[in-house]
Amino acid sequence: MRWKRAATAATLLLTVASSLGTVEASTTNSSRRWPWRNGQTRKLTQVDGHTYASVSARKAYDVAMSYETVYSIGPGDVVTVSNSGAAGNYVQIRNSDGSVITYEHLSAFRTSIGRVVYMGDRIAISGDSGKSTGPHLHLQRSKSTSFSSTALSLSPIDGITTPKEGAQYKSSNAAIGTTVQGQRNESVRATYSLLGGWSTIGVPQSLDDSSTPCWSLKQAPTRWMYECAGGVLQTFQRVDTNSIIAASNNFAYIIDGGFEKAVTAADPGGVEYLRRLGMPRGQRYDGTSFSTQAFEKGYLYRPAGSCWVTVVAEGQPNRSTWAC
Amino acid sequence: MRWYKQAILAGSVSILLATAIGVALSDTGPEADPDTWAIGDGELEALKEMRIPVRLEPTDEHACNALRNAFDNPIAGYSLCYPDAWRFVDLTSAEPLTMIDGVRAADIRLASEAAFPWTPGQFPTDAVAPGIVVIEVTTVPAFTPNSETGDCNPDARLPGGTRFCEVRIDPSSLIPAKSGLVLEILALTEIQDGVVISRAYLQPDAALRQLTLDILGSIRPLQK
Repeated sequence: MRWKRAATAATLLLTVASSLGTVEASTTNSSRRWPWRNGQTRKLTQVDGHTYASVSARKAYDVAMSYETVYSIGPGDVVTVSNSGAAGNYVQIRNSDGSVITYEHLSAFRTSIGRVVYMGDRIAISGDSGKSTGPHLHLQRSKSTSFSSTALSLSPIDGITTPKEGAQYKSSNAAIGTTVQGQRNESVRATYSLLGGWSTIGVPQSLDDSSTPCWSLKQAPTRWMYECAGGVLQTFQRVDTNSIIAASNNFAYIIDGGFEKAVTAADPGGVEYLRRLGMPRGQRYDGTSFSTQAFEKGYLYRPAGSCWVTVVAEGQPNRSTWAC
Repeated sequence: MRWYKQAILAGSVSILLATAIGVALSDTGPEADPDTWAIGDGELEALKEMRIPVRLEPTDEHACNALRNAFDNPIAGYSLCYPDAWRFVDLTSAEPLTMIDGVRAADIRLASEAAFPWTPGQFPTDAVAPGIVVIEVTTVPAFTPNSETGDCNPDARLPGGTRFCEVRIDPSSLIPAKSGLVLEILALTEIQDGVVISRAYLQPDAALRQLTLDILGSIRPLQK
């Protein structure tokens, strides 16, 4: 039966992935987020003003960051970890579109060449190395790793399409399947990657979003992943609907396609249904006449084409929630 | 135990520690990878509380000879010698540093007496003038290639084993230029698990050049 379950799981995963559709470009679902810690604000000391510098820096930003962790602004492959007289210690990450993000003037590295990074992964400690007169982060996007390559715009970044020099911006950066302390859940990360990453599921939900499941139970502003219902979970932001990757032990399942609205809804007692249901025991099954997803203490059910999702949880009366 | 952790422990004996406030010294993230030069947040907080003396009295262990002044960098893992009246510079202030913050220890700048008072906000290459030398010293993991070998190829050796090369540069762009006004001496010194990259900027002057090479040649892995 194992191979049948595996085949079914694979089919379900493909069904889930294909049913999610195309992510529309949106300022709220930018694939790039500011490189400093979630929830904190930093000042842009320079925007598009590096006219004296190399070609690739013409649309760069300088950020007032002082010896603190630098987080990747988006997903990619680490292609350069090096040092030069001008850039100091620097890291370059190549995006899926071939463009390269360069982080300069670092004091220490937290990544290495060849690593695959997600948005929010720690990559360095900011500093003052190279041609720099004070600690700050130089951030730029260019066509290639060459400092002579064409400069590309970094925006939109964290919902900002036209950053202003001198302005302060708040970061909503969050790592995939990782707590703020850096502890990783590989099941969440693997599931995120398997299902297509940010273009399919979106970017992590903002940390202080009160609509996150179990937020009221575990209001933990220091954690990017939440503990809830006996496992860990992370919510992701898409344009049309959110997604949740919930993990327990070595398995991680996605809750989406309207089901995440059902589990985040509150029962008559004001408790999120996810806390009543526990962790999911599998992916959503989409049949011709209904969809369903099993949980530790119940299941969700929705007739095909309906916006009503019935939540069946142990010890609770059945309840239907609107999930469109 | 990683070398920098040993350096931090060793440094706690020879450096002053300010009162650490709520600091966790252990790395709380399992993301630390033995293949990377990772610093956990706990260690970062500890570094911010550390202060390194800019000068030690030369002892038998610090045989600086004519250079007279010894500098131990336990956080970055090297020591060097420098002449009287040279000082460490923070580019944002006019006066020389009297102590070096632990978090800044990975990247330091040393300048000759004539460079002071420093013009805050001035780039080292712009400060170069007769009698002025500025040396930038940074440390990187051993696996980090110095991609900017377009500066020059450090294939000559100083007596202590440091490799070096020299090239004229345009100070505004730091790009090699045959008629450049600034001489850059690039030096690489291998230390445990890392490389010390030094860049000295000075006007082409034989005496200053030799003094600079003596300083760069004094860079050694810090004895534990």
